[in-house]
Amino acid sequence: MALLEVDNLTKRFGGLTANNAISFQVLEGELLGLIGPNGAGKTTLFNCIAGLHPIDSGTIHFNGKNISRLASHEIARLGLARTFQIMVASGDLNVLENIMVGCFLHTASRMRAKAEAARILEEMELSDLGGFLVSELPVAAQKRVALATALGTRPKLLLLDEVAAGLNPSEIEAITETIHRIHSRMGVTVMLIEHVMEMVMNLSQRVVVLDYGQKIAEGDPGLVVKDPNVIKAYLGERYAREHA
Amino acid sequence: METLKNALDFSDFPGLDLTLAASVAVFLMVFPFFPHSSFAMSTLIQFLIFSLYGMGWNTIGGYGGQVDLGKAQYLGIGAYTTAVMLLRWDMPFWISMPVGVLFSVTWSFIIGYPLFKLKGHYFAIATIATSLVLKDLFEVWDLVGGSRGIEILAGKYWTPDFLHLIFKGDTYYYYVILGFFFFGILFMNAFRKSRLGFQLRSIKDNEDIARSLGINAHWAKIKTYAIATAFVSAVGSFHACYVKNIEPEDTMSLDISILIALMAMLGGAGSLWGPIIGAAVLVPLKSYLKEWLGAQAGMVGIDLIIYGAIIMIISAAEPRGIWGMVEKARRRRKN
Repeated sequence: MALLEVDNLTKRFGGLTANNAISFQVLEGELLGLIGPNGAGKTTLFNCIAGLHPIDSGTIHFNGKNISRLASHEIARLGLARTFQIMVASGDLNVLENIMVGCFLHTASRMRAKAEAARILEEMELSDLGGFLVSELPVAAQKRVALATALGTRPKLLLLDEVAAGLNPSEIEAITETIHRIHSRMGVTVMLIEHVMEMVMNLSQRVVVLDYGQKIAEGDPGLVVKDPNVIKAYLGERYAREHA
Repeated sequence: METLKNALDFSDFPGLDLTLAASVAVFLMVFPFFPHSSFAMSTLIQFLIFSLYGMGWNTIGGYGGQVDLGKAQYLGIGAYTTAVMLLRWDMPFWISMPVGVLFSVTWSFIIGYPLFKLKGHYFAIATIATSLVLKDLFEVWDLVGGSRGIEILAGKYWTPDFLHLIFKGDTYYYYVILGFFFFGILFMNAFRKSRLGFQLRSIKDNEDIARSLGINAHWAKIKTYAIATAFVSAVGSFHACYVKNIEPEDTMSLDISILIALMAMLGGAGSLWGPIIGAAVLVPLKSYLKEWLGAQAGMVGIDLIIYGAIIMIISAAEPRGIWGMVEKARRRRKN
């Protein structure tokens, strides 16, 4: 069953069409990759789905409900969470308290929010860092905090925006492992924007490729990377040769 | 129950802070028993009053980051409600204060809804505008005495009158407002740990992120604005009984609104102790300036220049005020 169904979504900024009649589905329990060159409209698409940008036309259904016109906090309450490339709920709060901000969505009790945040911290292997400010942490840990904060809202679908950007190869491996765990063990459906192709190939069951605001390919990652359009638009001839 | 526990739990502050806070609390409680000038007494009462205004401002302005420069309008609504109800119907303070809070909060919802569609400087300017408009209305409204204001005649009450809050000596007023002050601290201690407190801090930093975490930013701000309003209005009611002579120019002027914001910002916006520290610095300065300027013709307005300079220094040096500097130094030592 489709958990998220995007149909003919168009988003314009003045004369620029950032997303042009895009349609795709995310199935329940799936891990879908969204790739494309810079400026292809990936983050805009996330913002439209999460309700941060009003869309110009088309519809978005989440869990069978039309969310095209809902405000972002209403969408979050339905169980759709997104991370941002830089995501700190509050710079005044420490890591544990940042995650509590997400947990407060489902409880007004500080004790319960704290207990849940502590549980998420442990699951994300961040327990030692709970007392630090997010700004005091290395980038890799900040990315984990972003994931943890979004998880606090108990999402059914998690939209991840470049969680691997700025990480070194061993850190990328670790966060890939974490995303895999969130997806398989915690049963969260995941859609991710990523430029690190190894990560996309390892994780995604299916990928959608955007270029100039259009969907140019969709399907099995192994097949999509051989698609001449995708190679021309995004991967480049060298990637195709090396991975042939 | 949990809220009460949160209100009484100060354990996240280091021992030094708590020792200092306890010493100040003890000092405030025993102060009237020692010989003191009436100037010192009235300055301390002003300090407590402005601390409370600052605490109220701190909810929306400090934790929520919405610079509100229109708090005087609620001071006016509270003060006038109490004064009018006392004069016309002989209503006790303990009835007129909640009624004033009710009026203020209702008004805050009415203007809060459109106000919070605005962001940043536009919001600040709009709060000034609403406050000034209300002040002008009060100045031409006969029921509340127009621009001459209202005078509460204490002579007809048997003092001390705890019901109507009419006293002859300042000491009684001092203990009443001290009670408010301690209640205010406990309330703020619970507020900063509450769901709303957390949501506001998230809204302050990045509204898009806050909303994507399921927070209804607009509604959270309106709710908090109402809390800030209730604080200011309740203390405004007290102010009416204390000064006994209120006019729009004194209670609802822009100066008051700016002073309220300034005290919280100087002490440390978004911290529990900030408004208290700010009031402790600025209230004596204000009293001193007033006394000093009274003797110097042609120097009127220099206090505004000084306040303006303070605003600029805070925003350039440390936006989180005196308390921000303390916390920064502590973090540096810890790491």
